Amino acid sequence: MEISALIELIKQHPAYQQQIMHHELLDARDGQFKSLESPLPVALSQLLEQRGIDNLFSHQVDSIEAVRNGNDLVVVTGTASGKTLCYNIPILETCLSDPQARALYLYPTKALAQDQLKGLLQLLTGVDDPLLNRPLDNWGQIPEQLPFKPGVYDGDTPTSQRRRIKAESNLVLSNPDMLHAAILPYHPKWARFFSNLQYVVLDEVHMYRGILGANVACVLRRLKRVCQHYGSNPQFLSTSATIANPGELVNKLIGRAPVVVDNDGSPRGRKHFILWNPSELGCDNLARASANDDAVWWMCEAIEQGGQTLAFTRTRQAAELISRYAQQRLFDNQSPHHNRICAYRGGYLPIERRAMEQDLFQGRIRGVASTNALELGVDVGSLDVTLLVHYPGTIASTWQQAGRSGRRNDESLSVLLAGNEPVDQYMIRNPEYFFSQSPEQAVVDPENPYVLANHLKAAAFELPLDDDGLTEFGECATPITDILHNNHELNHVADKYYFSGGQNPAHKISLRHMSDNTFSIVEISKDPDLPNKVIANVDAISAPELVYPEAVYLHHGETFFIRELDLEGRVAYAERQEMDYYTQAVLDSSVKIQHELESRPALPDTSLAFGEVDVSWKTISFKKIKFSTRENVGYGSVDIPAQNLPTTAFWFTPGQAISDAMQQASFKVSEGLCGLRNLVVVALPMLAMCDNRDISGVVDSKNLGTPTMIIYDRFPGGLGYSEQGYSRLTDLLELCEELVSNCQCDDGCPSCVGLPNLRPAIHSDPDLTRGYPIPDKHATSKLLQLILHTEASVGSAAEVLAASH
Amino acid sequence: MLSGETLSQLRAFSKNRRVDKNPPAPEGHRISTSSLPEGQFIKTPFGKHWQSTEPVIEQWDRLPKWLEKMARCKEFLARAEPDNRSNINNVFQSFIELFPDRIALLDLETCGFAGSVVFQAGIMLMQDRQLQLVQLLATDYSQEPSLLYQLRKLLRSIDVLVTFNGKSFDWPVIQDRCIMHRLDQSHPDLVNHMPTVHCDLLHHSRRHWKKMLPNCKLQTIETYVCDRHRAGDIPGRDIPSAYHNYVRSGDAWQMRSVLHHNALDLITSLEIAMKIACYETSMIATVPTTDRE
Repeated sequence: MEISALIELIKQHPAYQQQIMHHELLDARDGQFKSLESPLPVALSQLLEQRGIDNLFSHQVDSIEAVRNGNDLVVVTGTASGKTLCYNIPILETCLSDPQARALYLYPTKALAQDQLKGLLQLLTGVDDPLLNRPLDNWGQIPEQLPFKPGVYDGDTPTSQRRRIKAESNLVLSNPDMLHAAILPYHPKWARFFSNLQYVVLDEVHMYRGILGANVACVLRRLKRVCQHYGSNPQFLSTSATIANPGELVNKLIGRAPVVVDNDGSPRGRKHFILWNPSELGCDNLARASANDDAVWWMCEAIEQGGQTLAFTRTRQAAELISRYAQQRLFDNQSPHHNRICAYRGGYLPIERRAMEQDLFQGRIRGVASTNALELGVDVGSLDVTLLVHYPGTIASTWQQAGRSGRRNDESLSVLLAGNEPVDQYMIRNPEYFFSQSPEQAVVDPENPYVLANHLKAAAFELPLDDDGLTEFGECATPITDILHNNHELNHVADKYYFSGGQNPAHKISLRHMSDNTFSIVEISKDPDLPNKVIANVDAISAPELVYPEAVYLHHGETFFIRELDLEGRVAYAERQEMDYYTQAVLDSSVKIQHELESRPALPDTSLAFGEVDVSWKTISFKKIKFSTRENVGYGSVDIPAQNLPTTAFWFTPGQAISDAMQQASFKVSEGLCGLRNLVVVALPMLAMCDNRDISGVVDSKNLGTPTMIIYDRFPGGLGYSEQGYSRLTDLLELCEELVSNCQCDDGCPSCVGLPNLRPAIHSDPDLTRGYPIPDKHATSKLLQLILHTEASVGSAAEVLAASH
Repeated sequence: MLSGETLSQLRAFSKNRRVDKNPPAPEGHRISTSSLPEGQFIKTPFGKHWQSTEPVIEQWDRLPKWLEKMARCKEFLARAEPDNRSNINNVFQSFIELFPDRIALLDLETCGFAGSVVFQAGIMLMQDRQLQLVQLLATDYSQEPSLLYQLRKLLRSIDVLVTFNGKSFDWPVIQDRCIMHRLDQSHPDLVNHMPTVHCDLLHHSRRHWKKMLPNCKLQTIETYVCDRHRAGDIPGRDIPSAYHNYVRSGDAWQMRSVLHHNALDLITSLEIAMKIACYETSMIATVPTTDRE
């Protein structure tokens, strides 16, 4: 499509008031091709030709050669650059020459595994629409001379098919959670598979950072040990989105340095990147028009111009609202496209999601409003326009989402529509910063003692642990095993550690932040003879925020009234009713110090302690919001129990002298602490080797009666991150000071004191939430100076006192 | 999840993580067998394990009466018309024909469900011309391979394996644990010696007593059908922790209960098998074939 024409059209529109703050052009790039040192087997090149692939891009060739030479691999190239072939070609090549060879593909989500199975089947059968609901039937469609039997083995795989997949499938697609809890502990059932395992694929490896990363690193060490037991030593082939340190991340995860391939040789059409600031709303120049509304406007114009458009929203509710408003607007304009728009998000039933992906891929759907559920590699083809409704939170996500639009030979467009959040506003006012910022580091600590302790138990259950086995898990493994042994969680017999319990311990260990428990949303049948039907799922953490009684739940842009939330049965009962409003939960959250475990005098005139805290949040009431006008048309109260996260935290309180000194400099301690809290959330991950989503913090006076910064682990029981903050406070604060003093900004920016520390509000409409201002950088600098260099200030205060006497 | 004590020790460790000094590994445990019943350690190519052998009659005085009944069944079956014979479940035909020389009863005690250690196995089979109860015990986890090896070796001359729920539990567990310890790959003795018929009494008990009994658990049948009652038996769910305690402390008092429990399970299995065999034979002895169709 003509991108320039679309932009011109927007500029001509009566509602256009210079909202385009910046227009960046990213140049087109030609494809770089290369040939292999020795050609592919004929059977394989025929399969590729059948899918229209005659030549390989340079990065694909480099990857294949690296794998042929026995290396581990990480491929870091753009969306739609043909990353999948980088690992599939060498795997299929090996399987052709050795039908016994096996490959294990691990995807971070079940949806991705399904999507990749579809891709594999399309390649192997030449059929566009393989039967995904009956995976084993597909084997019949693969030409007989080709020894490929792909199968998904995850929680949804019917029991009747599991035995056959275990025994026969040579390309097994699964996820780390399944490997951890259901494959490794029962490895004798997979003996043949492990004996012949030659490749392990880790797709979207940038997802494995922080808590999930630490767990996955341990699971992979367990996998390597089991493989060794059966005499195999697989190569690890991975792909990653653009992050700062893909090679290091993979090295940490698999314990070996991979070859990094990042010379993207795929062609790219020219890309326009627009930073858009919704117009100011008259009188109060802080409030702006809704980014959602402007996204609807962009989406409708683009669709009318023939462009396929994807809007990324930060919340599920926003995805529903944008799709609903866009449908309405196109309907009012009598556009034929009004029924070719949908919302896409987590919680929809898998079968609906598969259908939408297919429709999107084949162009039947022209516009989608999606949460970051579509950010990962689900293949929906390349689109013309992506709209990023609000800043996605990280540079890596921004480019990942923007990369969803981009044709190989045609122009594409991405628009970042800023919200009211200070970060959004900062980005839009500082385009140089936005375009030059390098993507985030992915941090992972394979030796986190808490994570490792759990996995050492699981490993001992799988195979008795001896010294060689312990070495695989790193230096901390031996002391931790001793602790487990002392507490009878492992037994030591004849130089080996044995698990001393009956049940597979992996069942009780979750690899991720939150549990997998889900609530079903059930539509109450209007006809008493017909059964109720499940329309969607929602995770247990989000349910009380989304489907409380009397909530209006949005689903495919339609309104459902929630009659009842059954917390025990994990079901929300919904009735289809056409409403002219939706509801917005009002949350109350708090952090309560429960129990101080330890304290120490860290720095003069401050107090520091470590202990247990209880983080809780609950929906206390809701607002009714009228569609379109966003008027508040009423309230209701909600009476459901709070959700709790019992965890560990450290808390830090500046003393009276510092407080007085701050006041003299006309700063508030609490503002300085807020900025410091934001800095700590960035700095602590560097010391504690976690992701900044793994920790969180508040500044409050409720607990101790004076402003206190509380930093806690976002994992039940804690994982030692805040503990590192406690024992290394001075290092931490010095790092914060360095960050803030090296920052070039004037008053504070997202790189220093401004990064908002949000609990991801995944449901509500961001138009209705207020952003917090970026704290004053100078307050934080002054506070840090007072804390870290007190001798000087105390000294001068003493001199002042002496002088006055 | 980790226990509270483990967590607080981990915390202490974690805080000082950068200063890591590996404490010396403690010495292995000394296993005492002083209070196990009479038995001895057996050496195999895979190490050693503890084993005891005792004639079944020592534990069950009704055995001779049942052996007589079985002999009569066998005689009758040998004389029966082929058409008539076929009315007996063919697993039981084999059982009767090959009784007692080529049959064995098997029951395992493990540390839990799939994937956990097999630490004790009881086998009933003919040795020295009488029915013997052979009990194998791993006195620590490292003896499991030896136990499995011996078990497989004992089963070499067996054609009919009798278990209670062994099709879905005992037999797959043995196979998995052998694969895990890679026994087949490492020892030629073990290849191709598998019983050809597996008689899982759970299925046959359901066939006969499902409608009469509250359930078809072994102990239910023992109470209602065999009319025997256990006193002071160790409950199945306590067995794994009893074993872990034993390995840790070397104190075998609970192992005596486990071995007794295992012996009782096998005696009841034997009685159930013989009851069904005699019953099915008596059916063809009294009911003409035509009526059964």
